[in-house]
Amino acid sequence: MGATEKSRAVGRNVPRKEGLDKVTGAAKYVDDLTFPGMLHGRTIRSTIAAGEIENIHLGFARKGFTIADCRDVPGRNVVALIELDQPCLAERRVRHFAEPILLLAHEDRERLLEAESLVAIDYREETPIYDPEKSDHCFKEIRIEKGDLARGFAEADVVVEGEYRVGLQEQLYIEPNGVIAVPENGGITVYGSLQCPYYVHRALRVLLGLSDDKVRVVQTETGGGFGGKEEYPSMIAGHAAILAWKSRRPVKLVYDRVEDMVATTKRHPGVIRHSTGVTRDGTLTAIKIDVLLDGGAYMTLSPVVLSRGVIHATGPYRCDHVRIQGRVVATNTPPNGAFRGFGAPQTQFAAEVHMERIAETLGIDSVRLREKNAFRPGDTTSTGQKLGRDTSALRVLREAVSRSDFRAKRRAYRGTNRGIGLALFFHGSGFTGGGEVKLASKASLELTETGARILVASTEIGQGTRTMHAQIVADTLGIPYDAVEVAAADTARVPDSGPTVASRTCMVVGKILERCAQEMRRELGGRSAQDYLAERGSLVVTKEYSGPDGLYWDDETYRGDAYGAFGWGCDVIEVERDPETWQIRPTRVTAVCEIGKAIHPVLARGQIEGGTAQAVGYALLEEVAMRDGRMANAQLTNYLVPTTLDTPEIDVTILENPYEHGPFGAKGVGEMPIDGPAPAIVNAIRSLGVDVRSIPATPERILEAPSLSASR
Amino acid sequence: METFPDILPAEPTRVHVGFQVNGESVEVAFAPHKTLLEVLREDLALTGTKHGCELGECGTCAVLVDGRPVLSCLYLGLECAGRRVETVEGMAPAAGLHPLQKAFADLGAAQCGYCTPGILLTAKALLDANASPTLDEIKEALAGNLCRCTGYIKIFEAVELAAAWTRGEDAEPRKETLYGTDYDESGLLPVVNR
Amino acid sequence: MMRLPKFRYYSPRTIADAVAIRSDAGPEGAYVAGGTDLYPNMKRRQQTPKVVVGLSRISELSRIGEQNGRLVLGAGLLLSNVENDPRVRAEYPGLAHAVSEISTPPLRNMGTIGGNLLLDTRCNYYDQNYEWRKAIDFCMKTDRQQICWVAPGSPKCLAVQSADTVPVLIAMGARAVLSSGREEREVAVEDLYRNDGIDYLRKRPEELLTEVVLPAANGWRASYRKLRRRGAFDFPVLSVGAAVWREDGKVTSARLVLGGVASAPVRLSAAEAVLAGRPLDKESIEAAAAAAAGPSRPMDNTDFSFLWRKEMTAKFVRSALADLV
Repeated sequence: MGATEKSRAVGRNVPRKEGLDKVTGAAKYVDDLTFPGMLHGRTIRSTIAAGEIENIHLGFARKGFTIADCRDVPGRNVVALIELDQPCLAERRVRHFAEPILLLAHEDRERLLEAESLVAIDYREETPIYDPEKSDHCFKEIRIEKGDLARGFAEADVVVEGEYRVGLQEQLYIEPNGVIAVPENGGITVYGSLQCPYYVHRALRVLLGLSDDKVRVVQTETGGGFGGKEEYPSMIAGHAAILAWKSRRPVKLVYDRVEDMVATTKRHPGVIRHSTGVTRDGTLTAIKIDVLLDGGAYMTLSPVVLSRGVIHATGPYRCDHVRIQGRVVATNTPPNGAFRGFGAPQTQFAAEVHMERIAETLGIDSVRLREKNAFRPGDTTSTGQKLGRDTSALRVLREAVSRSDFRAKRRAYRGTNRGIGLALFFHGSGFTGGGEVKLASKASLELTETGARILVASTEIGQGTRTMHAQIVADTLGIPYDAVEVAAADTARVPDSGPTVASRTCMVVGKILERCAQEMRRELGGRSAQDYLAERGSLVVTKEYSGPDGLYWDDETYRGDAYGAFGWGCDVIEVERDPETWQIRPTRVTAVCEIGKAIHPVLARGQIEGGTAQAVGYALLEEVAMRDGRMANAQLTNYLVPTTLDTPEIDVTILENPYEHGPFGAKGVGEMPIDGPAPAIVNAIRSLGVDVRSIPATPERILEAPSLSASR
Repeated sequence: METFPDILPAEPTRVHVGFQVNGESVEVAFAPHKTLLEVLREDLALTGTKHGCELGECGTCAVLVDGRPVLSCLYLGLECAGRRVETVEGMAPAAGLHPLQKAFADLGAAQCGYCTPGILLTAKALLDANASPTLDEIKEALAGNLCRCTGYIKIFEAVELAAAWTRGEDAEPRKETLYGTDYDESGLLPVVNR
Repeated sequence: MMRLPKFRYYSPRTIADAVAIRSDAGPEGAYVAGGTDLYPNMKRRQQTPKVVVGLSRISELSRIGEQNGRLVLGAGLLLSNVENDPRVRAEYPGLAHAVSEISTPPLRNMGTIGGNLLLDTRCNYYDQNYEWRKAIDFCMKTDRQQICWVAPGSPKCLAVQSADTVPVLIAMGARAVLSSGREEREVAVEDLYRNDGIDYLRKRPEELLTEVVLPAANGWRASYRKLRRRGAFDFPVLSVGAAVWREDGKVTSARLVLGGVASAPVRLSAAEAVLAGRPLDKESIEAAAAAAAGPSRPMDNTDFSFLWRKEMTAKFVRSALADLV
């Protein structure tokens, strides 16, 4: 085994591990699988937002049906996540529309649907709360304090205040949620479209009261996740498992699109208020931010979303005196949860539109303002994290400004229906604070006759996990990429590598794999795999997460190193305003991202292009219309994601500024691209003279917004 | 407990329908209200055709009937009688891949892969009718196929590349498609702050 | 899992057979051409016909031909065939444009021109799945005992006419041929509609729309403007069909029709009258646009706020007319 520069895989566009299966129709997604004797399941949901269940009338003959409610849960009736507050099946109380109450299964899909329509439930209704400002239940409150805020405001010449609003967003993976639960060996095996096999594993253990070895979770090929398949699959898997447990038969539960939109988690909507002290020359002296997120009816991952949100709330800017207060509260809407970016898109939208407003207020160039305040290596963030050499805020800003010809275009477009806007942003890779230490993720590498096999719970959901991990291992071992296999994410075979979320799969899990490969290489000591196996029988190397020395975090005071590393990004977006309808059409995006190292440039670019397109939807099109706590536009004709005709040209530039503790210098890339486009688009609209401060920036909102000269 | 009559008759009447799937004649028996999507997936075990909304609002289930892309979720199976149906499973020649399949794999135009079969077939119909589509024509032809992963950029590039291959040109993926405009010959990207 | 409810399916080869089967089925029956409107509604259980009469095998419905200078489109022609027909493109570009704005390319390979004319009215409270509608106790359009959620005091259903081709066809004075088996009648397309979200067609249920007849293409031009958020998929939430007849540089007659604002297309007679006898220029167009805003009274039951759709009416009328200068 010898590594040569020529054979290296990292940095090259090697073929995706599952690439051919995905273009030939051979890839098996959960609904493509069937099992002998399999039943189909459906979920009967509440039709009210708050109240108590009084009676359930089935309305159909039970023969051939498996019917389950909360009394059929063998263990604890909860979806085990951060808190055990969310029942898997409602008991008496209902806290949101579409809350699961009853489960039905039958071998014939059509009879099942017919039966579903005949179930009637009587409720005693209560008054729901939809306005988070009026909520009486706070899931989590976080306060970040740096320096002396009063002193910072005293140093300011001007104080700029503003309130910014962001709406719900649906992940809209094209493959709807689905699982199959199979009772076997006295336990249960779940196959499913999911991001985090071990989240589901734990939830099922608690729900069914089973030991570790009686629960097995296998990820099937997954048609997109974007966070939407982070925590919610625990719920669906629980439902399928309850039905399978009761019927002793395999049960498939696949949502249809409407159900998926109405019932599952979305990006948290929020209100973010800024009050910033700044000197005449544009130096930030004090930043005070108040973040309010609507968590919906149950906690899900809301505290962690809030945490990432508040830590990113200043944007990538230095300031000595900062106070950030965040709250996420309960309302009677379906719970909100993980969605790519995880709180950071919301707060950085506010930060970057606010930055633009500061420049407008001071009458100075907004690029200059950002340059002046952008983080440099050695600066400290709001939590007191000292930034390392891989801090690239200035570099991405300058690169994006020059590549897009931002200043000349801004001048040229003045007075026309064209606008151009910019946003500078950052995104922490990996779990927040002490999260990675608590997770203690593991990865294994197994020697095979022809090379090595990766054993991780990280899932391939379109982003290229298998490929990128295999590249890291191949180069570290010094063997060809093709000699590295990747085992299925099956809890019976792979260790708990933590969830596939938080831009951690490359930087954190990839690093553990790199360490496995280094040890395997030492252990082989130059012997071939065959020789080693003939001699010793087998070789499996397992490593656990071990953070860089000196990382410190205090969860009580929110002080310390929030993330191992940050990625850095700058988007410049050009838009055209339809002079009649005031509809905004984005025409060109210049995206510059510094991600440490692009392990696979095509995959990395794909993440940036795709994340950008999702954010274009977030900024302009995607609005969840909630009517009495129900999503009223739960179809693809009225929840509007961008089509080929709505997506702008996207010019992606990747910069590499290696992070010393990332594999081959890599940091995270999955989430960051969704942070920048919304504020860049709104800032482009502002350059047309319209004072928009909320998204989606629909023409109705633009029409209602005051003109900039009036609102100054 | 109240009692109710069983609400549905036992087995619904089945129809026998003969049509061509991926070049082979098949005869299938199924209930008359089944859609082509359901017949392909459930009666012919051709699961390469996916469903995204089942209401004609996403394009995921697109297949070709007599060479034209249609939404199999809204197309009755029995309407296929005597017609020619092509699914993703039939795209590749006996050996190798269809140029579109190869281009999609090479350029990263399939990320999660779930919308891919419908997009491949829709693009195939486009290239069958128009060997040199412009970017606007590609966008227009694929306007009914939603993709949430790629932002469509790599899909457009893959269709352009496959079109060039189909025309017999010895085309290669553009370097900037693969590495961006800062690509240099070593395949390395610019490193900052070193 | 959205499945069609069970039904008996007939696939007649002649118009007479189709009408006979449909008549026998009575209220339990439905015609289907492309299925792109009916089948989603059936999957959502908005409609559950027990007998479905498929029209795709009736070859006479897919003809295209000339008759006394008029172009006759078989109602069963696929939208994509209408859109790409050289004569439609050359002589009726307004119609070709309207067809090209319908939903998406694959849908236009299934949907028919006749189906578009007869498109069911749409509403945010109606176009929902069964469970959602059950949660609000349904609405008038599914259950006449219930209220209209758009305007709870309304005696009639306010679901919206949303067919792209209708405003431009009415503007150009197109006619429709309806067959009841032995007899045929030809009516103005305009006379097909009734401003009632439930009984939105002036046609007997068993009558089959067989042809759409376009007037000879001389002396006039027509245009179409559609409001939607995206470049594809979306139904019009405000649309304008305009046609102008001119002689010696002056407008002799004009027809302006709004779609997407009521249960039937809305003729803008006052705006039409403004144009008569004047050249089609900036001033006359402004005057017509100003007269158009009043009759546009969209309700809050589609995408986009209804106030905004109303606000856009004059602008869209202006652009549709400007297309014809």
